[in-house]
This record gives sequence, C-alpha cells and structure tokens, in this order.
Amino acid sequence: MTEEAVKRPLKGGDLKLLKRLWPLLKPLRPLLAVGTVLVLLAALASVALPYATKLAIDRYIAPVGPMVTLRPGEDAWPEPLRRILASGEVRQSGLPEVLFLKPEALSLLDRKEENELVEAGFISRERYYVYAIQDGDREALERAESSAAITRYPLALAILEKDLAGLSGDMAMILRGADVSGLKKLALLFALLMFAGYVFEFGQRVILEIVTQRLSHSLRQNLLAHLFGLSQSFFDRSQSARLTSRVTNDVNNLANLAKTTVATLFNDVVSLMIIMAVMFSLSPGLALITVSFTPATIWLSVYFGGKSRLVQRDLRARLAVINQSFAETIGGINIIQAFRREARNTELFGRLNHDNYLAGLKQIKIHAVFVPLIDVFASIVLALVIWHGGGEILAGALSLGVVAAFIGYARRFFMPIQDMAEKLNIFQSAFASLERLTDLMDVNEKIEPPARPLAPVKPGGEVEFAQVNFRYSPEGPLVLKDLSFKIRRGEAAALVGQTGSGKSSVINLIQRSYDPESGEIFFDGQPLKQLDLTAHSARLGLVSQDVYLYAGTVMENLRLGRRKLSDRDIREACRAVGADHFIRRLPHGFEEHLGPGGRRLSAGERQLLACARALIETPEIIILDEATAAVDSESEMLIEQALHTLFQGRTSITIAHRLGTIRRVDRILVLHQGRLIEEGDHKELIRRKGSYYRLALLQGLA
Amino acid sequence: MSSLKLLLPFFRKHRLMVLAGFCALIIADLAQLTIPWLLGRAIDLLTLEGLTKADLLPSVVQILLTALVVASARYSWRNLIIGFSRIVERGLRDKLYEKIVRLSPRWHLENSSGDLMAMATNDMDSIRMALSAGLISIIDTLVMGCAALGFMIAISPAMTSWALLPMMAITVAAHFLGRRIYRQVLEVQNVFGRLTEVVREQLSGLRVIRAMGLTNLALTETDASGRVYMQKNVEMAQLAGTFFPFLHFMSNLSVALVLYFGGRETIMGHVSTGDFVAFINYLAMLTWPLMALGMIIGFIQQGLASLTRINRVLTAEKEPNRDHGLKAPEYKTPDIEISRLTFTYPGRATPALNNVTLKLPHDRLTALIGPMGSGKSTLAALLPALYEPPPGSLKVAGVLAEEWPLKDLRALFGYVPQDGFMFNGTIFDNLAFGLPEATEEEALAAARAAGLMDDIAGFPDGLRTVIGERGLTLSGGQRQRLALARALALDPPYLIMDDTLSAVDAAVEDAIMKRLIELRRGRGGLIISHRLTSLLGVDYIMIMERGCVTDQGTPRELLGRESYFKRVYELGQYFSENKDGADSD
Repeated sequence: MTEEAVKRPLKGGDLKLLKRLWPLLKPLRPLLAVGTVLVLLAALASVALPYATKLAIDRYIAPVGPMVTLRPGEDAWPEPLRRILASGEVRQSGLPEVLFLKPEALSLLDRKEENELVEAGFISRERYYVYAIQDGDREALERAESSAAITRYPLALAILEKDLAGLSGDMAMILRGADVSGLKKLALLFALLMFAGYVFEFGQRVILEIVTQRLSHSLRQNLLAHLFGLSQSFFDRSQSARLTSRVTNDVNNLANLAKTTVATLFNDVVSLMIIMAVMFSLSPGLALITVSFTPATIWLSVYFGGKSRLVQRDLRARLAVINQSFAETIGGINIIQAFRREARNTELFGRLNHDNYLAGLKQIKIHAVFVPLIDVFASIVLALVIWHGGGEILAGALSLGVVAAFIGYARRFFMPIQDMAEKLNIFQSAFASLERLTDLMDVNEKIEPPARPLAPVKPGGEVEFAQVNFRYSPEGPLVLKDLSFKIRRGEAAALVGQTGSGKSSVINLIQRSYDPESGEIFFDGQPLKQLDLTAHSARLGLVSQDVYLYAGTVMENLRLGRRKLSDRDIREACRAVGADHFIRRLPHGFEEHLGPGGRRLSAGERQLLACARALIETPEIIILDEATAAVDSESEMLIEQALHTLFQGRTSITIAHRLGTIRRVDRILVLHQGRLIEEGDHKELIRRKGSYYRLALLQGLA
Repeated sequence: MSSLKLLLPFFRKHRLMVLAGFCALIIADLAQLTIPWLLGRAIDLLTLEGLTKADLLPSVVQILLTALVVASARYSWRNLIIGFSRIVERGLRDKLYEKIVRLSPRWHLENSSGDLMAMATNDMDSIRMALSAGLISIIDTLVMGCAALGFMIAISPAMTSWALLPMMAITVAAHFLGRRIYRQVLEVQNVFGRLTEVVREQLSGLRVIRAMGLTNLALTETDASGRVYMQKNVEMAQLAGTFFPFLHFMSNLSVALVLYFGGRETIMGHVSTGDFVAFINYLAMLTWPLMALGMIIGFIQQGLASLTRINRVLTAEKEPNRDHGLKAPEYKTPDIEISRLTFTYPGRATPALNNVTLKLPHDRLTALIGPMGSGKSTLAALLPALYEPPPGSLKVAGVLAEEWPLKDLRALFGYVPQDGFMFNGTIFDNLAFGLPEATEEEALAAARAAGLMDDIAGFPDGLRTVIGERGLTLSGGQRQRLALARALALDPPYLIMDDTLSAVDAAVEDAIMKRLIELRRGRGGLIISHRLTSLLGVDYIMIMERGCVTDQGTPRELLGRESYFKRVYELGQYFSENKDGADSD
C-alpha cells in the first residue's frame, strides 16, 4: 500500500462503495428481511422486562389508591376530579359518596393537582387496598370481621396500605389469593415470552450468519473470477500473499458488516428514535438539552472515526506485510537455513512486527480518548437535567416523576450512540476492507474479452504474428520489436535465442496472458483479440517449467475435472510419456494424495505429470516451454519420443535451451533482443553460419 | 492447559502494567456504580421543603467529578490492558517466527504454509482479544456482579436463592456447550487456514492455471473449500446461538421466578414494595455480568484454541536446541565421508538413498549424475543438514555431522538449489544474503563469476533493482544465476550445485561452467547436472541410480569404458548425428 493511498481523505462516497455490494446481496434479501424481523422481535421481547415489573406492582402487589369522598354539588367539583371520574379507573364501594381510585387513575394527575384535591378534601392522602366482595365468600368473611384494620362497605372491603402487611394468614389468603394467582399467570406469561425471545435470538443469529457467509462466499468467488480475468502484468506487480489476504481476510471483514449492521446498528437506530419520541412528549425543554449533545457526539464519532480508519488501514497493511514475510520465509526455508540467516531474518521480522505493534498502540490511544469522552457527555447531560429540571420542579412547572423518568431516558439515549461508537471498530475495519476490495475490483488491466467472440476455426493450428511490438509495462523496455512470422498448421516450430531474447514473451502473447502494444496476432486468420478466450485456451496444450498441482490425488490432478475422461485414457497417457513408472512407485499409485502444491514430487516427476496432462488434452497447438529442462537426459529422450508422435498432424512450438532437442523441427526461429534474426531448418541455419551456427558450435552440434 | 504457560513470562515481566490496568478498571467500575446512587440522592433532595436552586449545586458538581474520574480511569485501563495484549501479540509472533525459521525443512514439508500464515495473523488476533476483551470482562463481571449480589442478599436471602437457581443452569451449560464451542472454533480456524492455502496456491500459480484453461476448475476448488468454511461457520452460529441467548433466557427466567416468589413475599408483607423494585433492578445489573460471562467464554475459548495451535508449533521438534553444548571442531580440510547412509522421505515407502557410501575430498570437484528421482538432490540437501542425516552416516572433516553445531556445519557449504528461490528486496540484498556485511565489490565479483554482469547492467537500478516477491520479475535463468552468485559470494569451502543452470541457455551454461570449474579448481564441490557436455572438466564423476552409487571415475575413465555417463553422453551425440545424417543426403 502506498503512502498516498493511506492518506486518502475520508469520502462521503462510502455509501456509494456499499452500493456495489447490493447486487451480491440481492438473492439474500428475503433471508436478510427475515433476519431483520427476528432482530426486531427479539428486541421487543427484551423491553418487556420493565413493563412486566410495572404490571406486577400496579395490578397484583400494591394495587392501592386513595379514597374519594364525593360531596354533593356536582357543579363545584374541580376539573381534575371530573377527569378522573370520567376515566373510569375507579372501584365502587357500594355507598354513593365513597369511591376508590385505581393506581392508573393517579397517573392522570400531576403532583400539583393531586395536592389541591387532597387539600380540598376530595381525595385522601392515605392509600387503600380494595377487595371487591364476591357472593361466595361472605361466610368466610364473617369470621374475619373482627379485624380493626378492615373497613366494610356493602360491595367491598378497604384496608389501609400500611395495614396490609399485618393481615392474618387466613385473611390474607382470602383477600390476596386472586392477586397471587394473577401474579403466577403473569410470571408464566413473562417466562413464555422470554422463551419466544430465545427462539427469535437463535433464529436471528443463525440466519444472519448464513447471510454473512453466503455473502462472503459469493464475494470471494466473484473476486477470484475477476482476478483470474486480469492481465498477467497486474500479477507481475502484485504480491500473491497480499492478494490472498484480500480474498480471505478482507472479504470476511466486509461480510461481517452485513451481520453487524442488522444486528446492532439497526437495533440502535430504532431504539434511539423511540427514546427521542418519549422524551419530547414528556418535556420538550429537557429533551432539547439532552439532544443538544447529539451534534457534538456525531462530530466526535466522525472525527475519531476518520482517525481510527487511517490507523486501521495502516494496521491492515502492516499485517499484510507480516503475512507476506511468513509466506516468503516458509517458501525459502531451505535457503534461509543453508545460508544461516535464521537470526538475521528473525531480527528483520522483529522490526516489521514492532511497526505493527506501534500502529496498534496508535489505535488504542484513539479509542481510549474517544469511548470515555462520549460517556462524559452523558454525565454532563445528567447533571444538566438535574440542574435545569430541579429548577423547574421548584418553580412548580415539572413533576418529580418527569425528571426521574428523564434521568432514565437520558442514560438510555446515550446507550445506542455509545454502542454504535463501540461498533465503530468493526465498521472502520469493514470500510477499510471495502475500499481495498473496491480498488481491486476497479483494476481494469483486463485482457479485454471480445464483444462478440468468434469460435475458433476447426480444425485449426495456424499462428501468425504481424508486426508485433510488446512491452511488459508502459515504462519497461520493448521486449518484442516489430516481430512478424507465420507458423503453418501442422508445422513443428522452435524458438531459439539467448535469455531475454523474447522467446517466453512470444508464448505469453500466444496464450493472451498479455496483449501486444501494437501489431496483431492471428490464429487461422482470425484476430486473437476477437476469439473466445476459453475456447482458445482449450486448443493450446502447454507443458511448461512451472507445473500447477493442487492438493488432490494424482488421478484428480490429471483429470482436472473432466468427467468424461475414463481412468484408462489417463493411465494410457501416463504410459505414453513414461510417467507411470514413478506413479506406480508411490505408496497409493494413482490414488496417492499430493500435498499442497504437489510438494512431495520432484521437479522431474511434476514435469512428467504435466506432459501427461498435455497428452490427455489432445490440443491443436502444443507449446513446450523449456519443458524438459529439469528432466535427466534419459527421461528426456523418452518424453521427446512420446511428444514426437503427439506432434504428428499438430502445430507445435518448442522453446528449449538444448539445441539437440529441437533439431528435428521443421523450422527454427532465432530471436535476438526481441527481433527475428534468422529462420529456417537446422541444416539451412548451420549452412548460413550465423547466430544459430555459433550456438550449435558451442554445444558440439555443428 | 499447558499452552497457557506461553503467557506466563509476559505476565511476569509486565506485572506492574497489568496490575495498574486492573486497578484502573476497578476504579472505573466502582465510580460508575456511584453515579446512580448520586442521582438517587439528588432526587431525594428535590422532595425536601424550602429548597433553593443553589442547594442542587453540590450534587451537580459531584456527578461531573465522578464522570471525570470514570473517564480518566477508563483512559488508563484501555492503554494499559489493551496495550499489554498488544505486547503479548508482538512477543508471541516474534517467537513463532523465530521458531518457524529454525524448524527443519522436513517439518515444513509436512505442514501447510497457509496454516502457519493464519497463525501469524488470525490466531494472534484471537489471543489478543482474549487478553483484552476477555480479561476486562472478567474484572467487570467480578466487580459489578459482586456489588449487585451483595445488594440482593441484603434485601432477601430467600429471593436471592430463587433468583440464582436458573443461573446454575448457566454454569452447567457453559461446561457442556463450552467444550463443543471450543472444538468448533478450532475447526473453523483450521478450515480457514485451508481456504487461505487454496487461494494462495491459485494466485501464485495463476499463470499456469490460465495457460491451461483451468480457471473454472480453480473456481470450483475454492467454491468447495469456501462451502466447507461456510458450513463450519453456520454450525458455529448454531452452537453460539444456542448458548449465548440461553444465558439471557436463564437470567430472564430468574426475573420470572422473582416476579412470582418475590411478589408473593411482598403481598404477604415480608418484603416492601420498594425493596421488591430495587431487587429486580439489581437482578438486571447481574444480567450484564452474566452476559459478559458468555463473552468471556467465547473470547477465552477462541484464544485458548489459538494458543494451543501456536503451542503445537512452538513445541515441535526439539532440534533447534541441538547445538546446545556442542563446540565447533577444529579442522584443516573439510573432507566429506558418507557411509551406509539410508534416507527415506516422510510418507514415502521406498528410501530416496539406499545404503550409500562415498567420499567427497575437499579438493575435488565431483559431478553427480543419474536419472530423475535417483536421489541426487536428496544427497545435496543432506550435506548442509537441511534434512538430518541418520546418526553415524555423515562425517565432515572427520567429525560426525551430529557432533557439529548446525551453524558451523552449514558455514562450510555454499548451497545452490534447483529452483533459485529469491527474496523480496534488491539484487544486492539477495547477493549478500549470506553475508549481510558484504561490500558492493564483493557482490559484483560473485555476480561476475555467475555470468550475471550483463543482466545487472541492463536493470534500471543496477544492483539496487527491486526484484519483487520470490524474484518473479527475473527470468528463470536469471534467478538461477543469481542463486549461484549468492552462494559464490560466501566463497564457501565446499560448493553444492543442484542442477543449478537448467533454465540457462546452453551456450551461457557452458561458459559459466568453464569459468566456474577454473575458479574452484583445487577446492571442493558437488555439481549435479543433466548437461553432460558441461561436465567434461570436472575431476570426478559419480553415477547415482535408484538411491545407490552405481559407478564412478574420472570423465576420461568413464568415457573409456561402458558406463551410464558414456551411454547417455553418446546417446545425445548419436541422437543428433543420426537425425543430421538422415536429413542430409
């Protein structure tokens, strides 16, 4: 990562970045919706607790209220009294002038009105528990009549709140039995609701995980498919360990965003809105005080967010370097130990690791300031609510209950904000990953696929270069200069030249790993740029120095997913190239499991497998790229002969250092510094006594 | 768990830091607990008669001061405790690297590099999280939980015991499910390691994959690995989804029990209504530590799983300590003597070397030839003990290899491998790989001997040209010659070349070999090659077939009688002459 990229300022374009995820998310939307609903249901279940407590107290534990004494002269009743009576939250005593208020009725009065009604003698200061007498329990109540704490009315018994605790056991059983069984039902209902909440929570976690995993899976596959379509020149500049980290770590990070957004952010925003609505309905003044800190909080979040993101990005980049350092060390362990570099490498790695540590400390500093600071804001708001609200109470403008409620809400108000702040970490990391992934997705160094791809001519095999100029990177030197040649169908050609003469570049262009800077390449008269790439690759058979083997059995590595091939075809091909000897020596033969990268095989053995692969393929054009370099002379002879039969009727292009192996080809192209300097068969070229002759002389072939 | 021992030195060394961090954490928690109490007192104040606004001032100031204490205590513990977790991360990663760089190539052959890379990043992360978030939650849980529990017992021991009943279930669940979660976490990490390895392999072998039109197969391969990873994660979510909300459910169940039994107590007049409300609030305060308990279990188990994985590597092979107590022997000439050496690669049925006995005098250039898979490279790697030779089978300068300190033994050899593996850095860095203090002149001299001067002159920044990851910006031939120069720069007593110039043009190879043979004349060397014409100048030739030395002699001798050397040498000549003859009329 360049310095420039790290310092790129925070953009408002984050949403735009997110939009690019949308198509991937599309098939997951129904699942995501179900997950979201479950998150909400689980959240609702979790707010049931305060409400259940309130119900238990007001309905069953202390359903007490003042006694109302109605004096005649209805016209003189004050407005608050009428309001209560109209609400119907009352219990009848049987006497017309005596009523009792339910707890709910009191909440209709503020403290001032309540005081005025008490002063005027309309309602009692004392609270009463009221028991409505049923026909069935008159007899039982007879015995209890004696208790002095109980006042009897025609339809009800009333007990002063303070005397409730002093009831005898029998009496308590009769009077409170219904409350106890009500409480039992409530507790049971609450437990059931919580169980439902448990189920919602389980469902939400599993569903969101499925969404996250599917998202990251499709993201990973898309990204790889994109990478596979990029020009080789991109990979020349990039480090595979870093790219690997993009495809694995960054993708995971990003997919986690989906989970976090729904599970926390969504939740937090909803509860924040509910709290704001309640606060403004209680007291706009206090609500404004509380909310006035929101801009500062948001500013703080954005400010620290930006800083945190830079640090996060820095950390990721350093981690990628650590990753790469490990990869390199493991790959080159032989060399490190043979050259006794253990201590020095450990020291060098220690520096990288220490840099990562310092970046980590920076991150800690930022969070150590930011997270507590938001908490300080919450406390300042609390102090202001007490100060301002207290003054209002003293002035009689607000009730104590409202201020008490506000304290609760102010604390709740900052909780979602704080929660979001804590999640900032995940968001930062996800956005840093998103940005890197977007950068990667934006790389357009593509081998441009044709708009309307042509199907290759069958049977084909003619290759033509017309005035091709090529360089690997815009700043690099010209590797091929005005190169023109034609290889006829069925012709066996060879490319010869010193290192750097451009032989491998020709092969690269034939495979369309790169596009030439100018000039055109034709296959059977069709321009390469207009050919379907997959069909084009399929007709090339490559045997190169590097052999890609993956972790699977020998058979799987030869079959390469082509189910139509029988085991016999594959064994036959192995016999033809002489690979069956070593395969049969493996403990499990064709079913031997090759380790990652096929590391357990020697270079020559891998080469033989590659030859067998090419044979199975039966391609139209065979390319041998220094194929037999690591194979001993005896095996090379065998392979040469096997390939010679394969060459019959096919075009072949061979690159080899050892001229002996290419002497029987039809035509030899001699390259020097990217130009074609000689052309002809072995005899002609020897006769010409030019560059080829000198090369042959050196090898004792002329 | 024995892997926990890995952490002990860190705790011991930074005990003051950890202790101060814990103190700050406890102060923050306690101060936090006083804020509700201060608020309650302020509200009580408001019910008093004859109050003026000025009477509220002390409460307001107290609240603000407490908030400042909380903030500074939090700032401190974040720096101290999370800082400590970063120290441990750095230390463990250093240790891991130091170990990996010393583990034998044999060990590396059997262990995947993707897995090791995952340890260097993912596992270090989870250990760090266990140490920061995990430790913090433990303290939080203790302080908040004890405070809440104390208040609850004060109100009603009977109600407290009802409330704690479901909490027992949490402990039981933690015990049983916890183990499964632990195993699942390990599994997820392993699968992630495998996925990383597949992706890495594909991206580094992409050129070949594409050339063979195998991109679809490659995508199928990642798809399969990715699906396994997906499956393991969903299984993990099922386990975690069963466990963590269960903690929540159980704490709510205890609220339900308190609602009923505590409510009945209140109705019967044994507990006041105010205390009943307070009790439920304290119970809610206990819920958070219990939830945190879940987090702790999660973090700690993840961390332990990672620690175990890392410990497995750190305790692999005792070999790195084998030099302990060994002293470099005095020697005059590094003659090599191999007797009855048999060597089998792990996982192979047949030995790569079978009862080999031979001598490699210090002043003789010996060529080793033979068909593929005959054990030549194995022999080359055994000399500098890249694979450990069986005890008693290898003597260098008259001393058994196992009695040599590895460092001194390896110092005798300049090893040039087949693949020319290079490191990210400049040409110079790689030339001076074995001699970090080398001057440019020394490096250039080695480059000259390896025929690399023209190439270096052609690079944009000469010796200071950066060659990229694994030197992939160089051609195969350039890499091989650079590898040769890297070994020559050491001016080693004994040179080992393992088919070093296979990717180099024949003409260039011949020129280099000629120069090299002159340069090393009179000193020791082992040259493996398939290009027999370039070997005519060596002192001696050994032929290896199927893990045994089957023939040996000087080039002249071998050409003078029936031998593998003669057969293959002439085969090459004949093959070309025959074709030549057939073509010409």
